[in-house]
Amino acid sequence: MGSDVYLGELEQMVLWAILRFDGEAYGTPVLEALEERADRTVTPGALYATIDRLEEKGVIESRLADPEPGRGGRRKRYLSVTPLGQEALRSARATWMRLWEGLEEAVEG
Amino acid sequence: MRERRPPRVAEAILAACLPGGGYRESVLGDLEEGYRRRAAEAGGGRWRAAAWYWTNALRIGAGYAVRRLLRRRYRPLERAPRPGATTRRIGLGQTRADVRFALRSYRRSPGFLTVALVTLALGIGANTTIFSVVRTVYFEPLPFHEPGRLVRIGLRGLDRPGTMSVHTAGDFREWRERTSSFEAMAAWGYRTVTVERGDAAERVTAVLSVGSLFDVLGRPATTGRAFSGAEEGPGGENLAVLSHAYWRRAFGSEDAVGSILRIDGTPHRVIGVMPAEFAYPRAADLWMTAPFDAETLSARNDYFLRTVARLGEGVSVERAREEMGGIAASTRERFPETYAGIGIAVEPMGEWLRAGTGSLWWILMAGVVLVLLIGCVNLANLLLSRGTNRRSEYAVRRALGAGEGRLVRQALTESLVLALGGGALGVLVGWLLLEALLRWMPGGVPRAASVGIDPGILAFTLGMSLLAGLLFGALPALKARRDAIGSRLRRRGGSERASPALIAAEIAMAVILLSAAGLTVRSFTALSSREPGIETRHLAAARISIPNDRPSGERHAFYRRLEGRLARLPGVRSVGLVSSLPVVDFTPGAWVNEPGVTHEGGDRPSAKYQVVSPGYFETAGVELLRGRLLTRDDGVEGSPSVLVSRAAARELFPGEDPVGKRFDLGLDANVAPLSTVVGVVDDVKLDGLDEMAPAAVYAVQELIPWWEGFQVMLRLEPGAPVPRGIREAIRGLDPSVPFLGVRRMDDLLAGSLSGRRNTMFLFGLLGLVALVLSAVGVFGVLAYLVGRRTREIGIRMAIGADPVSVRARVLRQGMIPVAIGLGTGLAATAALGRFLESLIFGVRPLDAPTLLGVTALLLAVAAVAIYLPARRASRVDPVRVLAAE
Repeated sequence: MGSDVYLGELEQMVLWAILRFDGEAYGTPVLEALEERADRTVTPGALYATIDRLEEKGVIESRLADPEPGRGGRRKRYLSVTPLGQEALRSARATWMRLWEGLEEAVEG
Repeated sequence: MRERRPPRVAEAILAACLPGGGYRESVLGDLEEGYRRRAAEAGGGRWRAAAWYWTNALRIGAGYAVRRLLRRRYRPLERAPRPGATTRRIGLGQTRADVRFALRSYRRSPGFLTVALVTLALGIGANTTIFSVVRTVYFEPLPFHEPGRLVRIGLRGLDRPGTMSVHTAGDFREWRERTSSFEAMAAWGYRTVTVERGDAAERVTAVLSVGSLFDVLGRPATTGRAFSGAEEGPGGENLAVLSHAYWRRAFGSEDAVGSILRIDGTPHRVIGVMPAEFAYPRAADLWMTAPFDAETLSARNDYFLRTVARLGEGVSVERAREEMGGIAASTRERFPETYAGIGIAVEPMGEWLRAGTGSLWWILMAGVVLVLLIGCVNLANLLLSRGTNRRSEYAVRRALGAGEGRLVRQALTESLVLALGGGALGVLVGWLLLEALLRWMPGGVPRAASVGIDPGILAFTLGMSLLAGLLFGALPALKARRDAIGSRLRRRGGSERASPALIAAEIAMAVILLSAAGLTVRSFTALSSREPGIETRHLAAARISIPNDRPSGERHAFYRRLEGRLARLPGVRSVGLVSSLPVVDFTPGAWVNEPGVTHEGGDRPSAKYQVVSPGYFETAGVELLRGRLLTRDDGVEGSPSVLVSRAAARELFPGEDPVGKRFDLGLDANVAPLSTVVGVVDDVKLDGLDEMAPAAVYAVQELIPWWEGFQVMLRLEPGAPVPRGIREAIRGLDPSVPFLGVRRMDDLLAGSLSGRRNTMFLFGLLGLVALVLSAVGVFGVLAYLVGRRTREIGIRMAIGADPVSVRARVLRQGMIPVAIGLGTGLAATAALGRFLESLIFGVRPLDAPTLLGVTALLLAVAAVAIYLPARRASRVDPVRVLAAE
């Protein structure tokens, strides 16, 4: 395995959403993307807890943007996935694919 | 704009919980974005958005607060006391440990935690809501410049202190010219006017201003400006200033300043909009310059003005009263006929604005405090029984060296942590309740625009929470101390004595609250079932308004033709015209002058008068008791005749036959000329269902030709809908006459009771909460007490006691504190009853059915609460109980 970082299901989804927005990801769009595409209701509270955990693990990093109207003149915290995070996601996917090998038929049949 | 901002309180709570810096900012920003998106959605978006914001703010906030607490726990080294740290720091450290301990112990009993938090959140929330209203209504200064110097001035009977009634323009002019106590003085009068703007027409409450009402009150407009005294009076331009509420209703967010409104057919230029909290007088939709000529302004026969004045610098109300007393004496001398027994009243303005709501909100405040107290009693009981179960824990800690004080402190900390948690939820509940109150009872909350939850209210909530925590924590803390002292008192501990006392207190408070609820419900039903004196079923009222620039002959012809047309509409049985709708509208009054009869002192007879068409009586269902009804020939040009009501007959001509009596109406016969009474009709409660039917005089339009506007009453076929063709009928006669809509009389009457309904609803709700809380409390405590006696009961049964007699014994013992509580509660209700008098109608504060009902209800609840655990206890298997020893 390429990485020592273990990622939970929600954590993987959050990473996926962050990657999708390519450097423009922050709380609100990530939340919406999870709701639309992953068909899963995530509360903002759970999302922030996950983001904090991911940052502690070193798989994402954040930077503050300029203040903006439309959100009370407050700055956005843009999120991006670190190389370590990309590595972790890849290895998570590889693990899953290995586990699934030969099982598709059993499940779908 | 206010709509677009997330709830301030929730935002503040969240901000306080989040770690600082960019982190806090980004989360708050995200949530605000989410809030705005949801608020912009159609259909209650704002309401749902606020709920969404609150939920998530509390969730995120709680998450971070807990994580911070735990993090501290895991990093003890960071927090090690520095060298030279004081004992106080150690004390704080101990508190933190106590708090953590309390949190852990509550996490282990989620059921208890839920019950406790729900009880506290409801109790504290209700207190927060009502207090935020109470503070505004009774404590916040009026929204005017130096409100302490404002007074109201009016006429009053010399033998009736504390009253104040309207006065004439002549009075006002004399006061203004001859007094020196006041810096400024203005008079105003209500007038219901028709406002046309484009195609829409609306009836609104206008205030006619004579002499600088805005100058006296000293409050600038929000947009535009208010008019000054110099702009009023004849010859000037017609100007109007809108109230905030009316502006929003009529214009939305559109700019109103500069637009032209046709008010009763005359164009008025809107020059300003007043702030939302400026509501003087309360019902004002707009203020307009009065179109009075010099003659009107010195007349002494038209009673419709009220005066407001600003006391001069350093002038006391007493001095102003003295000066006005002198003026009143001289007026009495000059006009003995009119002013006999009449004086002048001067009252501070603040008292009057509050008097409108009386003590309702104070009583509600007392009610919610009682609810919270009942909740505290429940919690004290719950904690006491928890404490009993934790007796061994205390013993161990004591053995390990914990001091008495330490254990008491621990117990108190646990209560306070609980109370603060309940208080935090209480803020949310209070905010929701307040929004609900303002939304569903528009007009029910005085000065609503100034009511809200702000730091002051939050401080109150915090104080309430701490107080509640101390209250319900005191007994358990004392018990912890006793348990810590040792085992000698253990066998006959105090909790068994304390709990019955708590039950008694709880029942007593429930009696008070339920009685208040019962009384308001009974007075509402008494009012609703009161006969207004007209037959309101299948009766509808249409409001129209003829511009008053029409000559009187033209107006009368219009009304007569309209009556005929409407009578031919399908589903309409008959049609009648009336100058003011009974019960709903204000009905004017006048002096009743019998030729050759003079009255000494202030008891000059007066009566309300209604101008009607002959068809009115049949249409409205007013019954003829004697004589005959009116015809169009009873006017000035025929033989002037009037009808009197039963009350008028009794008051004006006691013991005599009223038919054939003659009198004129008003001063110097300016309302109606000398007329003959030709009949007596039944009483109608013209002034509202909660008032006595006043003495009333009825005259046809032809007798009082100067009366301008009429309401149309339609008697419908039973089951017929309100007819559709009214608007077309009016258009067909004169397209320029605005039609203001038609309503069923039943609905209008129900609307006139909405204030009473609100009061009943609020008290009913409080009573219900009190009932549920006290039932739960009594049940919990008794179940616990009986449960503790299971062993004793087991022994009794083992040596041959009969289960029925065991149950009876338990029931009897349990009922003692309930009976004491009932007795105390009834006595307290009797003592407090007079405070309720202003809120109830048709029942006395000591209403036997209410008190009996409350007593029976609580007895039944308590009996069930005792019987169930008693039955369970009497069914225990003696062997098993004894074996468990």
